[in-house]
Amino acid sequence: MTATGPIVVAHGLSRSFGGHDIVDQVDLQISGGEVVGLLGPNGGGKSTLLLLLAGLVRPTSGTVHIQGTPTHELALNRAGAVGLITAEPGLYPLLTGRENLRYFGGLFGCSSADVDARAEPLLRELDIAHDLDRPSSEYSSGMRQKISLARALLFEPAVLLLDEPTSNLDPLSTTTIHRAIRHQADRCGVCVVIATHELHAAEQICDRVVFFQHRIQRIDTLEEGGRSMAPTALLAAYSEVFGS
Amino acid sequence: MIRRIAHIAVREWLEQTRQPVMLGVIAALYLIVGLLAVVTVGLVDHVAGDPGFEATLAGLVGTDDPQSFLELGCGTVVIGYNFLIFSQHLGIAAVLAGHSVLHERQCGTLTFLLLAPVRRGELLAGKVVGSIGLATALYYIVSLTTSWTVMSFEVTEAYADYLPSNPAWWVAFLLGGPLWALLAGTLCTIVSSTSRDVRTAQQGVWFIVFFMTLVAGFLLTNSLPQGALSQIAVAALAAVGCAGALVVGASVISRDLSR
Repeated sequence: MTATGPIVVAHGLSRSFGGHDIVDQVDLQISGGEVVGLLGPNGGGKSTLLLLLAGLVRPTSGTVHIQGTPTHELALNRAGAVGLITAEPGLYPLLTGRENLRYFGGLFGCSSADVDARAEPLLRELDIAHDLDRPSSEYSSGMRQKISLARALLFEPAVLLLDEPTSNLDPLSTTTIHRAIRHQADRCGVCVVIATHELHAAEQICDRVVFFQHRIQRIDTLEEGGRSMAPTALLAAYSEVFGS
Repeated sequence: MIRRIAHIAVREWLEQTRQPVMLGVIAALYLIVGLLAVVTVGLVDHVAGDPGFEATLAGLVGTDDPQSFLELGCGTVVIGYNFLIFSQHLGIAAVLAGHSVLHERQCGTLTFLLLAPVRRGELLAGKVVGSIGLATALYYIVSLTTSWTVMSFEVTEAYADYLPSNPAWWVAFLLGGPLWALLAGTLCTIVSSTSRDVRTAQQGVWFIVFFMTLVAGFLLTNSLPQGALSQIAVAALAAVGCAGALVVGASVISRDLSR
């Protein structure tokens, strides 16, 4: 892990919908090179927390800064600082994988050639470089998610936010994506927050896990027990926090 | 700014060209309206002046002046044809734009668009131009061809105000119609961006199409005999409306995905 100062700083972060506090008073600091797992039951506000961190949902109260910039100013002032992956890959089905990458890259002012050059090592790492010229609608879920990951990493983001990126994927695609995520944190110092229900995956790639249900229930560091902490141990912790 | 708007629009066009059935339906609508006018006016032109036919017609409809009757029928076709080409274009633009932002939501791409350094006004303008661009090109090609053909029949001379021989027609066809389509597209893109489901968007689009139908009838068709200046005023009204809708729309489209 590359040790740097905090890249994401959330303070008193809250968001309510219809009078219900979906995210309540979250204080969180995440450093570069750190992978933080967000664990918790369905409907517990993990996705909303990720969108708050990305600046795509306005907080009811509290603040989020990414590298010192308030998140609602990110898109126009620090474009590319946040890479996001959702469970839905978010590709245009009638465009090819390459056209999708070029389109989103073009929104950041990149020429097609520049996008191709930036994407090439990522596509090789994700093992999809050979198959980018078919319509996205013809790709498997794993392929679509890998393209989505390549898009998120295209501009070397400081923060990578992932919302159940490997749900419904086969084990090989899941492993490839997890390896790429860990690689980004270790070699590029990217700060990663991943919401997942896969405890085994969390145990493998995370440095810390945040047990979250509307508010932070508990934070465990996996470094000391190492990422070798047995999944059963994490399951035990999960059951302890959210059990019954 | 222009580059980003064009980038968004070109992506829309690329997607539309991969939907040939949809473009075919649009072209067919323009073509059917045009061909109906050409065939009807052509038939009237063919029988006008034929004493045998005129006598039969006089007997059938009970008129002393069958030629005037034919001319009147021809005029109805020409005026109706003009109304239809304008109203079709406004309606098609509205329907295409009314699904544009909703399409992004459905594809899951809106999230990623909002993370990109694109201002909301640029996003709105790109979506509008992208939505209606190809349909407008088809409108120009098909409707100009059929209008020119209709004008070539002598029997339409009495209705030259409604055909390309009148400069006002050119202003309405080249400028007024497309600008009103742009306004319809802008309003419907706003509807699309504020709708969470297809049914709501469709009803919003129909609400706008209803008023655009009145525009096509009263402003773009019925005022053609009043000359080019009046059509320039009609086009200017649409341009002002577009500018206003873009400003309002840019503030309506939220960067907050929960809204």
